[in-house]
Amino acid sequence: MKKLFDEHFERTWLIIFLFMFFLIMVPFPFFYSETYIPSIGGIPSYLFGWFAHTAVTFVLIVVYYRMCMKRKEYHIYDEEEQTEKEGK
Amino acid sequence: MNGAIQPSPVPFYTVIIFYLGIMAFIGWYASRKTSSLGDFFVLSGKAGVVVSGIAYFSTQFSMGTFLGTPGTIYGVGYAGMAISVPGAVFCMILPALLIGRKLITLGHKYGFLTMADYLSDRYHSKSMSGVLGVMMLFFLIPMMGAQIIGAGVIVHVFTGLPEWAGVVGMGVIVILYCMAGGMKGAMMTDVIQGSLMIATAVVTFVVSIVMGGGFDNINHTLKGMNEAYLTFPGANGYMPWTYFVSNIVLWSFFTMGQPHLFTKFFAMKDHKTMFKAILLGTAGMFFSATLIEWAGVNGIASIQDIEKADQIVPMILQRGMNPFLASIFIAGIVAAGMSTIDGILVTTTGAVTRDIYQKIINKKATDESVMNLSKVVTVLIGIIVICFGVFQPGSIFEINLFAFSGMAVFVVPILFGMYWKRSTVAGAVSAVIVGVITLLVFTLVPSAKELAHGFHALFPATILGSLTMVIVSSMTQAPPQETIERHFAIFGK
Repeated sequence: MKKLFDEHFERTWLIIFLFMFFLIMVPFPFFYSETYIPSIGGIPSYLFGWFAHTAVTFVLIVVYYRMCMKRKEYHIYDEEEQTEKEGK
Repeated sequence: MNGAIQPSPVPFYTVIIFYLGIMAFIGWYASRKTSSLGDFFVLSGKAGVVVSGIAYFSTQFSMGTFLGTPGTIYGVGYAGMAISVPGAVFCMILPALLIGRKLITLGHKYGFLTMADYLSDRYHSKSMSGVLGVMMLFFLIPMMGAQIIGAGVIVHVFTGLPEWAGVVGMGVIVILYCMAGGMKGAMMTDVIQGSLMIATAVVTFVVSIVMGGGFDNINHTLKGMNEAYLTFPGANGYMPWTYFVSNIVLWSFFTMGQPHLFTKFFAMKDHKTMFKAILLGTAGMFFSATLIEWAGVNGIASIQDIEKADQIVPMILQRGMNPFLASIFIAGIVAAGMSTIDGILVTTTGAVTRDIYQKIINKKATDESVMNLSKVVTVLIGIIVICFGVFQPGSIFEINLFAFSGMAVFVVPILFGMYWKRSTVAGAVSAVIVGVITLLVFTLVPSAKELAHGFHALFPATILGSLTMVIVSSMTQAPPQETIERHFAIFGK
């Protein structure tokens, strides 16, 4: 499973983010509501649905970033910069 | 002049002159450090995290975001916040995933500086540069015009001066520092402008809550006025589900077609910078959009004697703070417009000088002569934008949306070029032409608009553009194998 994930790393992450992207468009009452469902301070509950979805997606971006940084193809230009510094 | 607004010209002039002075100084300072064409257009791929992240979001967020959108939401209620809030988190990660990672590699490997560099190389045709250059002049000049109109509105509201005075003043400052510093000046000022934009959003939001007497009171008042302010599709029916979906897609996925944002990836020095910029830029965009738009909703409960909806944010600041502080945060909105104009002005200048002049008209032009020409072209385009701002052919939001949608059509040749080896220049040019015509028809012809079933005109434009790309590419000769190798082999295992 891990090997499969490694081999399809980019595609898997693209699917994860596209899933989150399309998820927010689904008219669940916590994302899109034509009736007033109040929550804290009388604020419509769908606002908190958006915030929760944003928080989860943001965490996924952080996870994706950390996993990318463990892969060598994301460090090609770090070395280029290092070489430039050494050259100076 | 609206009687509810009390002009406070002295604090406003003091703050704005101080602020513009700082921007002009940065433009001059950057000009001393700008030595090459690469520096002028994309900072030679050396932009770090803070610069890349803040520059991306401050270029994307504009007068439309800080004046036009809260103004629109003022008539809609909470549902109007769907314009930016639910999709904000995807503004950078989707472009980065689909094209950004590859653009950084291509930029470093082949020295691409602009979207036209990429498209003309990928499609092995200079005509792509010409098509893009013409489209950019057609759509991005209005986009800059929309920002400059906002400056005129602010100057008029805060000083009582005619709007053209604000338009000309802002235009001259932007031209000066873009002409001098190119992308370096633009991205350095973007950092200050972006930070001020976040501060303005936070302060406007807090002031709007205090003025409304807290969330409970605000929402109780809104419910009493009209419960539709608290539900979809909003008080004036602005946000049905189809338009909710359209806005999420429009302001995230379609940012890939915007040349001034596309270029930002070439400026990033490495992938680590890209990711950190995504985190910083996404957080900045989400918080700014949420807070400034929410302030527009809160304003419904506390400010009713309003003449134009676009005045809601300036009025919240003006009524809730002393004139000097209000002027400082109004400068944050001026910053939103300026940072968008400077990014676009440098990109549009690049389209004329590099993509049309150097690649098509005078292929022997040296980098030095192009750089000198760039400064002249910046002034000329800037003057056209000022004229656009003085004559004001539409509202800020309408013009901004029109221009954004027009450039968004380029998503088709970009994505097909990156993921489909068989796509050809004939397919790409046809796709753009069909896309733009479809966009105009579905926007301007009511019977065609009905066929979109409430979705934005970009949806049919993109679908028809993509079909055209597939059909025409299948019938025409593919680019040489060498070109395909250059663009695809480097990403192979």
